Amino acid sequence: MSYLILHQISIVLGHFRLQRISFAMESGQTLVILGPSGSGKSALLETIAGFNNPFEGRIELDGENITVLPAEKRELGYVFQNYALFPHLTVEQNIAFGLRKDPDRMHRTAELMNFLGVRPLAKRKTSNLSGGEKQRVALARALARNPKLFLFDEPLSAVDATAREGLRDELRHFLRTLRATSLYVTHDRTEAMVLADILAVIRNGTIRQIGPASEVFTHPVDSWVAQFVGMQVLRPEWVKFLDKDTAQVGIGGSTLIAQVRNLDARQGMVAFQPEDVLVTRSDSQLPAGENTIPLVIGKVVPLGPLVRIDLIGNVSMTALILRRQYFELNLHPGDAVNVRINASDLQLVPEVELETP
Amino acid sequence: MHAIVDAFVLAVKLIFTGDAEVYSITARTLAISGSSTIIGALLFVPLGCLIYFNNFWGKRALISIIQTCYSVPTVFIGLLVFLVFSRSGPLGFFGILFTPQVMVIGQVVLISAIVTGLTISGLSGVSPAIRETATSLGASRLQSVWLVVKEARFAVLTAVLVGFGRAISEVGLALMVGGNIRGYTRVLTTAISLETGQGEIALALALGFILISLALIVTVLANRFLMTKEVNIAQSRASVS
Repeated sequence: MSYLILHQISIVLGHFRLQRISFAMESGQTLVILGPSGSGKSALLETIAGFNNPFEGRIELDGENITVLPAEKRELGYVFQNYALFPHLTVEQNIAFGLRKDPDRMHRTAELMNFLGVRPLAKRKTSNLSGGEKQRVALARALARNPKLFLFDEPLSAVDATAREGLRDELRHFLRTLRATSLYVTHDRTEAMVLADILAVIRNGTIRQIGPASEVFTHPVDSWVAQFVGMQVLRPEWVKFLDKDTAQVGIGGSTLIAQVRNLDARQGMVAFQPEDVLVTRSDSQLPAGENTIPLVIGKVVPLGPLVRIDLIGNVSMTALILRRQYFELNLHPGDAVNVRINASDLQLVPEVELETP
Repeated sequence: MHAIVDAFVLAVKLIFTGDAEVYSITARTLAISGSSTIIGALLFVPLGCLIYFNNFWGKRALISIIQTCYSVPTVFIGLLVFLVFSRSGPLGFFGILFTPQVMVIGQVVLISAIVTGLTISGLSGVSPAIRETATSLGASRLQSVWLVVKEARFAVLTAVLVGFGRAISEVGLALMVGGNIRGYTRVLTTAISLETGQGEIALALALGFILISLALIVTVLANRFLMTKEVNIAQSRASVS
């Protein structure tokens, strides 16, 4: 039996509805809920924490039905955006807050401070801590009560990009070391990619796709999920189904083979990751090969170790290649190139209304 | 300009020569406004908490009404209290009109909206995540509410101090329900009003300086009281690093 089970959970918050959310996860896993602002991901976390009351459905944690259990009795470790440390308390008092009734609280607090390396900060107030120190204090505080489940509500969203990477890695290490079962809410797909064992993509209060993170990132169920996880989405000029798993699609005047995904109707969009776009010079000796479209290099944007190439022609798309590779291929804006996307990397997915994530 | 300097010198003289009447008026002012502020704080800080921490129909409208009441004229409150406690009023049987007690009651009514409203504003400044974190850490409703109040303590203190400022500086209500009786209900503001009416501008200004000094001392002392812990923690932090 799964460790955490949500069965048909629905809530109403003003005009917003969270609709029939169901999933299950095992002990020790990290489930990341990825979605745009206002999609209901924080509301879902708050419902599991007991701050919102569902009007239908059931939540089971470690074999116990906690649907109507008061929030303070759910034994959860909730880490909020910006960590929500109590500013008027010291680091030590923050960590000990959840141990008020524990006779061994001082020993336990000291143990946690040592474990997370915040012992030297014990008497300091939390307002002057660095991002990393705050994260460790928040984790120690959440860990103090031996929670059955950790809930993270976009803890890194207000952290600057440089610090975020380090904090993300530290968090991943913490979760893996403790084999902590956790739910992590974010709108950042890199965070999702780094932390998730299981990934749920949520939109307008419903889960659009849930599964192993690698599966969601490579095989989105529809064009919206594809776009949200960072894929490029193009409308094909025509589609010819070869069998139930493959189809020929017309893109930029060329014929490409694509994998078919969940496509009941005869309409669909092709989706692919920009890093799966292979670029070669059209004047090179190499044969163009299958699944190739002739295009021209438009804009080139350096992104540190990567280079983003905007390709134009009968169709527009973007490729992400290594900086070194860009120079080795001697590519320049205006150059004619052959663009190949392997059939295994090209998905034909059902079209749903797109929006800017 | 000359008059102001004269008044300042006179104020210093009155304070340091131990003018019995000035001391008595000052002490009475402090006693009446201090009592009304303490009673107001005890009643309206919890009321502010009650309104903030509970959701009910009409909550927004109620908060708007409270905020509107910030600017109710003191003479209007004075008139209401006068009518209620006058001999023919519903509470006239207490027979406390023109006594310090009714002045305290009037000032409590006067500061009720400001203390309640500013308490609500102060509590709204604390992130809801603080309370929810406390709850998720096993705190009961009362414990998590208390935590939020402690987080908002400076804002709550400000609410109380603004209330004190309004109480000590009002004149209309004190005149209407206190009667400005020498040695009994005369306070600094009513004394200033009286001296101005009698053409004793320097004395009136001097009493004004005393009034401002009094408000300043109370504010500084209150802030120091709250800041003590902060300083202690800052010192311990410095010793750690």
